[in-house]
Amino acid sequence: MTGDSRARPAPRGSFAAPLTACGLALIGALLLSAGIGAVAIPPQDVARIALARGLGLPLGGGWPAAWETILFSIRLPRTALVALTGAALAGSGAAYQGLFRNPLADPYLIGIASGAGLGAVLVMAWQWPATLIGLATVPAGAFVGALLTTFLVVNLARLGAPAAGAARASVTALILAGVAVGAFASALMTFLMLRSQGELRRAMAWLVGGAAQGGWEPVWAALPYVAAGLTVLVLLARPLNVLQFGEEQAQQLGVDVERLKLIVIVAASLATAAAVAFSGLIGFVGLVVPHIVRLAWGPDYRRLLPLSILAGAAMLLLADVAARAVLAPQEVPVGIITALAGAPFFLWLLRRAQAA
Amino acid sequence: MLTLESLSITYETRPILHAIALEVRAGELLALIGPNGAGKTTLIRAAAGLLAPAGGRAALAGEAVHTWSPEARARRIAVVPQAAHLPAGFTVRETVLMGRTPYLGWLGREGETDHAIARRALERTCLTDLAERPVEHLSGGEQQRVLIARALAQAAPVLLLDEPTAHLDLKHQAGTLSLVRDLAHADGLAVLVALHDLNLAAQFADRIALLAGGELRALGAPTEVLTPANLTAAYDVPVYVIPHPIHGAPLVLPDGAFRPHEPVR
Repeated sequence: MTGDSRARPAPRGSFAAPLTACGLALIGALLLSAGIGAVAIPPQDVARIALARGLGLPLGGGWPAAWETILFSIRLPRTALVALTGAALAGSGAAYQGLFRNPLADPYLIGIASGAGLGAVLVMAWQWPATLIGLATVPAGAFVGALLTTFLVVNLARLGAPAAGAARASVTALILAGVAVGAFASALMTFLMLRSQGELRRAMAWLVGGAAQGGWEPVWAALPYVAAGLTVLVLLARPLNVLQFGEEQAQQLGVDVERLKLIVIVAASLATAAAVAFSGLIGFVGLVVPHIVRLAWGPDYRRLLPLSILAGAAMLLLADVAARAVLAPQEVPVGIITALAGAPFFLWLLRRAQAA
Repeated sequence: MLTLESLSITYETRPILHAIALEVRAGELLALIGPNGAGKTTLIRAAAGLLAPAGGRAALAGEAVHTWSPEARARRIAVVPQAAHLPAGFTVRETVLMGRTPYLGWLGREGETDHAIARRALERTCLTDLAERPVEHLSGGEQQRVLIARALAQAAPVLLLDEPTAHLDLKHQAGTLSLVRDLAHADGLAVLVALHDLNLAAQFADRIALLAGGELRALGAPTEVLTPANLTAAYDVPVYVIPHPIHGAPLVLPDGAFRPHEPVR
């Protein structure tokens, strides 16, 4: 990875310390996210109510009954969905970066999220789902869209390269192909949404990453996809490490590279698709979070993947808190916050990668 | 040990190697020499089973190596690639442990055996003191030794090296090749090493294979292969071959009066 050649030596040490740090950050972000809003609930009360009602612990009462309703029917579902989305985007972003050995691969930048969005909109345009079964078809559509986009972008990016060196598409080719395919998918998506007039406002809010749908249904619909995709990625951390030596060396070291690539693409697309289907297009989380984790704790995927997943959930929760706080009581779509913070980071990375 | 049986390789429609027949024997260092574009790298890759032959085969224990799974291949044949990319951020020890991949599968974790084998590979290549250093902080010669240590961790009976001395200074060229020779003579590995430098080949190899235009032009002891006639035909340049003043190995010198823009006299 060209961008990493100038990185400081990765600090060594036990895995427990960074895991604890990321875990605590996530718990803090969860409590904060569930606590803020029109009715502010202190973090310790969020924790007590969640433990008492969720696990049945005898922690007494003493809080207003309305708080329980607010937490369980509004705040916690939203918080859970945002956390799942952040985890999925950061985990699949880390996997895409390892797969393409490209520090700028991100589900959003290389067009995969847009492809997933188009798949989701196609399913929605066909029939806006209301039931849980209907909801489950949206991530399925997004999954198919994400898979097709991945293969399209990878093959387009290889077109320019000479046949012998085609194993690894260049950074520029991959980003350009991703931008082109992503723009095309977005245009189609916008066209489809304009046709379905009644749902336009809702769809537009969804598109820029507002968790517009309430309740627990989207959480239950997204959870199996995200959990399955991320579990597979975490299990494949060791072969992903070997892949960092390049496809030829990985093969010489006994990795069935083509099969590994296929499984990683399918798993990362699953996680991305569920995130996009229920939270819309949220950029830069999949780029920024794995990078920060890599700079802080090194490139070993056995650490990088779990830490990115925890940190991604925490970071998107904080972005979502900001999105709700900036223009309160009005809400800014969280995709705007991540783009405002992430785009300058991306430009810095791009400069760094080109200088190396 | 590893036998190339009339091996031919074609890239798209272009023939790269034509009917190569040779054996890399256990306990010997066989050097592969030849001009640029002769097909040395292709021969290494084909011998490692990474290319499907257009004719013939590379065989180990009577089986065609290109038909094996990547794991089965990596347990029997270790490759040290040319100018290999080492990802930044991993330590020397972590990089060497990657050599245990064919024994671990996708979901395995390194156990005590794997760590012990990696430790031995580090000792064998004098890298123990550098084990916890990130690989990108090492010199070119040290990185070359890391790649050899990683290959040793594969515990394969066959070792293939593609120009391991390219970009190394004199000391590291000699150090790398005497290590590789020890691995053949003392550890009993079958070693095939592609070399650019004919004098290094003459000094370190037990036998030399001369490749030109995709064909095997000569195979045998250094004194048999490194003759003016063989080399002039293969490299298209007049050479002098003189015995080394101390140990008598052939010493190859290009004709200093040769002007490549004029026809060969």
